[in-house]
Amino acid sequence: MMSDSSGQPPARTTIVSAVILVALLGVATWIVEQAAEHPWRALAAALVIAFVTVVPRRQMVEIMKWVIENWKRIVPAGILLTLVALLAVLPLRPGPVAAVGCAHPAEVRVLTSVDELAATRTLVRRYERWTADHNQDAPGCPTVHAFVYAATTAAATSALARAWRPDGAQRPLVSIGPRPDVWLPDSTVDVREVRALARRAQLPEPIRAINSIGSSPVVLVTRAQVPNPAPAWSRLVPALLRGSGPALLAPDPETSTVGLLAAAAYLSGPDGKPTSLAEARQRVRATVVAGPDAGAGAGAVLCRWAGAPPDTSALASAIVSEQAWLRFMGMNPPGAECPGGPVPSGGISVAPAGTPVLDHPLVEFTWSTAAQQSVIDGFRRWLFGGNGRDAREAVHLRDARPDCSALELNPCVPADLDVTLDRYVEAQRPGRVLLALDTSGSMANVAGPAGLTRFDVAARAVVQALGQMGPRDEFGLWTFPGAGGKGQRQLARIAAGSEGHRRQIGEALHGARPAGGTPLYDTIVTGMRAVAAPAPGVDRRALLVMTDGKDTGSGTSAEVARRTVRDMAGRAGAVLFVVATGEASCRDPLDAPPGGARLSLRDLVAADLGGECFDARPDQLTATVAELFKRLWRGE
Amino acid sequence: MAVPRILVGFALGVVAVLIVVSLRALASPQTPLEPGEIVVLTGADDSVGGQRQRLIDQWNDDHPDNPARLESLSSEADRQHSEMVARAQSGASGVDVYNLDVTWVTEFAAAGFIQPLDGSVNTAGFLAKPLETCGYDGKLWALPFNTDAGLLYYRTDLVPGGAPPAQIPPTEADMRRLATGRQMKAGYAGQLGDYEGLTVNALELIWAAQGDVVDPDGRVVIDSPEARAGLERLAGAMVASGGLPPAVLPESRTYTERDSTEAFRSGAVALMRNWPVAYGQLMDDQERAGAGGFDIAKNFAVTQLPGPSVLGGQNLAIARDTTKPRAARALIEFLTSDSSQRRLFRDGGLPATRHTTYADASVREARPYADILLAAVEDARPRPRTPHYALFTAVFQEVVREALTPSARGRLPADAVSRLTDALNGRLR
Repeated sequence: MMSDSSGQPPARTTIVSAVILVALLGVATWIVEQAAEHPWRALAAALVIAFVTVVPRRQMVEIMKWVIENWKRIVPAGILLTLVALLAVLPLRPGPVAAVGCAHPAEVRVLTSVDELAATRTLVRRYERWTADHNQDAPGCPTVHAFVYAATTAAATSALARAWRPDGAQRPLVSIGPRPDVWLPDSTVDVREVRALARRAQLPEPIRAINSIGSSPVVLVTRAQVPNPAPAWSRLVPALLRGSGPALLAPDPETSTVGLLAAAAYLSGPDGKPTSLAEARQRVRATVVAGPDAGAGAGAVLCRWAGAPPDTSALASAIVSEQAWLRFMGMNPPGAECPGGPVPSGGISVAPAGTPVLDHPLVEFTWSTAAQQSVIDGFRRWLFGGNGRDAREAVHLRDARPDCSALELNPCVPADLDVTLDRYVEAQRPGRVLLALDTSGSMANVAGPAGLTRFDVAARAVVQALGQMGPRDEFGLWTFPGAGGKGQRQLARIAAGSEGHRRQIGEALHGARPAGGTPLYDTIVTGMRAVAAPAPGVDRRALLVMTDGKDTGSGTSAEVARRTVRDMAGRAGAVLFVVATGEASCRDPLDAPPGGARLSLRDLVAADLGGECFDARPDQLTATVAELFKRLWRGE
Repeated sequence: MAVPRILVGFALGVVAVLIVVSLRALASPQTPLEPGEIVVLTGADDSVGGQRQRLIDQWNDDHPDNPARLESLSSEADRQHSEMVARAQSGASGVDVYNLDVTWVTEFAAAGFIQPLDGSVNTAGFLAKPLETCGYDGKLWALPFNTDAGLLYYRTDLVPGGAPPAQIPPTEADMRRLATGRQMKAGYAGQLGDYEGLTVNALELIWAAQGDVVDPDGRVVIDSPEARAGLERLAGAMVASGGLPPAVLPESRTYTERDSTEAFRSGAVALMRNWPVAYGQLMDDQERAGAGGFDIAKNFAVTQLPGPSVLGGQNLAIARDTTKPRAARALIEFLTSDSSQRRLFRDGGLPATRHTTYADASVREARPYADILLAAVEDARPRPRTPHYALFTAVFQEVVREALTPSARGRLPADAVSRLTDALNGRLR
């Protein structure tokens, strides 16, 4: 019974009704606040207000009474209504839109080395195709999209040890790319490095599993004559580097594992251990190192090797993996992907005795989620199954060798790679060399039967000298005399030996014309100060002067030049090399000032501090310069 | 007393409407912003002076309860894409806003990685072409953050008469004119390395030859004489002939934007295709005029490509699994506002997506190429729109690579059309 005899509703019903009405009005007010931009809400608010305003109070109370009496029916109806409303609202939430064609495949991030990028792309593309071929639900739709990208060894190992997290200025997501799900490095040497770095930094072990997928030996690719079977690297390399210019190409040891193993080969001494620093300096400069920025790793090394002139010893050999070589030769025609087109290779590959072997591990990580791991499991199963074997053969991998997969005490790679890398880094510390070329009138004299002038021959020697310097070495070119027959002309300032810098020197020499006097002493004084100028990290400094006559027109004396040379040698370790040709001679006395000592060029160079004077006929200039640079890098 | 049925019906109707409206309100962004950090997953900030970060700093000053953070990825589009997709698929991306390349909006929308913006978003003032890239399936999924169009850079000291060739790659007559008395390795450098740059450059060169790859109806039409001519012309241009350097630098086959900028700066080439951001990089060259170095800033100019450019740029979208959709939307609206766009373009060199920016005097002073860029954007064409763009571009790059091998000399692989058609639909055979 909800009403009294007077027909008035009881007080409790009135109160409950009032509360409900107030609540309705409250909601309506809230909606009105939002209504400006939302017509639906404005409609709802209008309905509430109309309801409250239009329905008489008595009937309103009756309605409330009815609601209270029938709540058992109304609540389920309300729930039903809410569900219906939810169904109406849910489609407004985002969700997959009916896409054209296939469902979105699972993303797998595959990190590899710069040298292996092309081969790894081929491998995983085959896997993607396989998943498309075996997709029962949607034939032709791959279930995996594998993104393959490369990083240098140092960058990859350092980032992986930190689980790809940023560390100070290092942000692998920016500098390298996505956090990998799997890693296909060249060798377990890299895996060992990751573990060592993590251990050293007391970080959690990032590696979940390692499985070798194949192997490939490091080989020498060459146009030179080599014994068959090839001897060990320690005997082979000195013979290859016997000439005066760069003879060997290899990937950069600081960024490539193949490059590091190659360095272990070309820096190995007779006992198989790294050679002396003096010898290493020279070998490093006889080897052209191709960094990752030079193109696509091993492929770029081989393109450059194949593109070198076939009739010279320059860049006649390269060190790469057998896999890279076979891939290069497998192109139709060989080297078809080289910039500028195919190149005649005309060489062979040999595997010297005891050469290192790359074991190509597949590395998985602890950070993969269960869903990601399931995709990785699928890839691994395929890789080690029949289809994967075909794919591995297609990218020229040999079968995996269990004896070459050990993390520690691996007999297939040198044990002292850290020592090799240290020796390499030390040996390629830059030199700072200034070439000063006499362009006085006498340099226009004909130097031999071919009609070349002394200057022509000296210019050739300068170009040849550029081949004795690495890309990190700083060098510049002056000629003397300068403007007005005095001082010097700077044809190329002292700068790091980029291709552009070398080109600039070559072009500047073309434009030089011999004329005027020989301000030799001024050139020695100014040049020695220039090479001795502060330059961080520079190892060896030298001024190389090529002249054919005695000093004329200097504002300074031989004695001042001599003192300056000794001063700069003592202060900065800068040395003076003079190549005397034509009428010049190392022994002949120079003009002496009144009452002064008669000095010779040999006296000027301060032989006791490392300088040297060489007599050379014009036809000997090139060989003399080569010998001079050997001494410079050896530090003799 | 019996309650009139009409009143009961009226009451139930009111209650039903209230429930629907209340639930809609919960799903809409009109209530206060959700507190907490907003994470924006984006490619590295290549703008001059880190202007994106400065905008974020400004937002953070104004919204201390909703601080935003840029989580930066590689500046290479392919690498960004892989990380973004992997995060989105993980279901716990930790991302609130994606800064998507214009080609990925379709994919992310179709896969349910992002949520649509409702009809209350004001899109007035945006350039039409960039805004179109934000739509899919009749809905708006993002707002344009910055746009992009390729431009032709030319060395004024190497181009005779200051007039660049009317065709890219340069013709033999152009090369004769360019190479006379100069030491240059080639006429033109682009970005033909194995990444998205190859897709962009190849599309533009095919378009320049009046060909196309995918028509507006989604059909692969690369097998046309015009498209074939475009590829054959490119392959031929990388070979030196007639005693002249090649029209296209062969090393471009491995080049990214940075490499071609370096070749252009060094004088190895007289012409370069690049994005507008290269303008700022060349003007800000640290080495210029130092110690006798060459001052590139005084020796180049920029103009539109002879043909249409690919439309580039990035769009900001709300992650599906964000717990802060209202805050994310507010941040997106801030970053794409007039004032933000002005700052990004004027100070950072990132091409703006709003009309008004290009008319702004301070912008025109700082970016004298603004009119050229605006025209290039308005003439630009989008890359094929498909939810499977990642596969499509990979297959297209394979096709182009095969066509550019010396033995193919620009000839298309026989199965190019079927491979590309499959890829458009996500299929791989």
